[in-house]
Amino acid sequence: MRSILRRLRHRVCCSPKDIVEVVVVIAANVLVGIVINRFIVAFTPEIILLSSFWAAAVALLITTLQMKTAAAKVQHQLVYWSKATNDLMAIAPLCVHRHEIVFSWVNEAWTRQTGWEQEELLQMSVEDIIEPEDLDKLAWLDAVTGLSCGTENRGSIRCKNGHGRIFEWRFVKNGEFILVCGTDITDAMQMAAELSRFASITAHQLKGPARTASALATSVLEDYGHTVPEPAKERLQLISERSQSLAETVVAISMLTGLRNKNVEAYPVNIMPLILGAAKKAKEARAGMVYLPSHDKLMVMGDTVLLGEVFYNLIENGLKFNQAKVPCVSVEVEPDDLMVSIKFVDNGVGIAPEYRAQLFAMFYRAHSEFPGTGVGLALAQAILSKLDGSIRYIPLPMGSAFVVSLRPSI
Amino acid sequence: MKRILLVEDDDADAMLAERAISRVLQPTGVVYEVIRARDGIVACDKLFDGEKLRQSFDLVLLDLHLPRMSGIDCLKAIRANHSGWKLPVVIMTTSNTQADIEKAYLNRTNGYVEKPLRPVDFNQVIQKTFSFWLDLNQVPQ
Repeated sequence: MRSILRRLRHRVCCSPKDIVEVVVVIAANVLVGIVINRFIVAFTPEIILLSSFWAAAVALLITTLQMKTAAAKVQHQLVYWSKATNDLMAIAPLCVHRHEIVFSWVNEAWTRQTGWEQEELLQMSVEDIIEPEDLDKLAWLDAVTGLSCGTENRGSIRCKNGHGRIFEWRFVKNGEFILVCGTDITDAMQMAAELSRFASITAHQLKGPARTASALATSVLEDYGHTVPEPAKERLQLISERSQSLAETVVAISMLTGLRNKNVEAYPVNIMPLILGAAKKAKEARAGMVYLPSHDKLMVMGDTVLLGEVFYNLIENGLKFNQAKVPCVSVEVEPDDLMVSIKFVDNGVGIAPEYRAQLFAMFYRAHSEFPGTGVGLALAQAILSKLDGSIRYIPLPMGSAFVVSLRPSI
Repeated sequence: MKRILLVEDDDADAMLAERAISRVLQPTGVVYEVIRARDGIVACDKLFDGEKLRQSFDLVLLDLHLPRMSGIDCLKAIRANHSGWKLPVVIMTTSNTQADIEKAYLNRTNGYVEKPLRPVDFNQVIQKTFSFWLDLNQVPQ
């Protein structure tokens, strides 16, 4: 029955709003008939009902004609554009649920790219066309009906008969229609994956020598420091710091590039050893105190390596951007059923209000008097975003606080 | 005498590793010898003569990215040899990606340390490795 109604609605090309209008017309006619019968002329109930249905039919016809005209206009424009592109284009009447979306027009590119005939496609719903494994990605499509005209919703989904090709779909609400456009992005995705691999290999090749140079300079200072003149010592110190900074930048860029091009699968992680490890590493790099929470175990959904990087960045930043006699970072955890909050509070120099807006931007540095690469916070935000978490900055009268929120492990 | 096989192609990294080893072992009075191999094939040649150990080592420090035969392939070869499956092998590399760490442990490495080797890291490595081999087991001869 639902299928018949769907087809019928597809054939007359109307939306739920039109059906409501038709029902209102019938009800209004019945009401007018009853009033006329009561006060003016004695109509029989059959005549009242008949006239009501005639009025409804005329209303439906007018609506359908209006829709067909609008559809024809849009279709005409799309036919013109679709000749110049290999994109898949289609029109569907506006529906509330995605499984009810049935195309009323498709362009020729569908047959070329997917192998389906245009007539076949007009009998299928959007869900019949999508690769079953990608069906869950269609959830966002339900929001299309709620969009205002002209706004669009997009996502990368494979077409079932598209020979493994991946299309980026754009669903645009236009009046009573949804305009659908699918662009083949398979090659672009392959190129992005290759670029990511290239970035990863390059990062590895650059990171090694940079770290080695830093360690060699440090070893000269440690082994022969007593015989090296002061100006030479300063320069060796600079070589060591800059090389280390280069290595850190390369690692951060490599991680960011990798993150942008892959999906991160979050898994249950105990964050306490990670915070402990990050604090230990940060104390090796910077002088200061780190106060740790007393919990033994706190499980969140995350990734060991990525969260370790986030925690290290936040603790090290707290010790680095600090002019206190004893730089301190205090880590506090607040477990909750919905989100686990990890708060990193420091007694550092803080961030001036005018610099806070760009705090998480790549290569942005809010302090000129301290060394830094400007990638730590950008990387932390990118990692947390991939793990469905978040990070926010809270200014304090004496220092700063960063609050990391992560999903608890079920 | 403790014998350490250092499998490292980069001279600077090898120099830093040897420095870390000397910083940790010299103050303890342990007599040691570091034998260097520049790739996996040379390392296997130094370790094995067919199925037999050519010479015994107390520790193998193995870089992952090596010419000719990679560190992982060398580790596989060591573990595949009947005489090498008990040999303490510690992977030493600049890569800290989860995939590389997992691959190393799946191929039965005894430990993992980041390059360039620092005295503090080497100290931890030998603490863990030797406590296992000296307190709980005997290094195969």
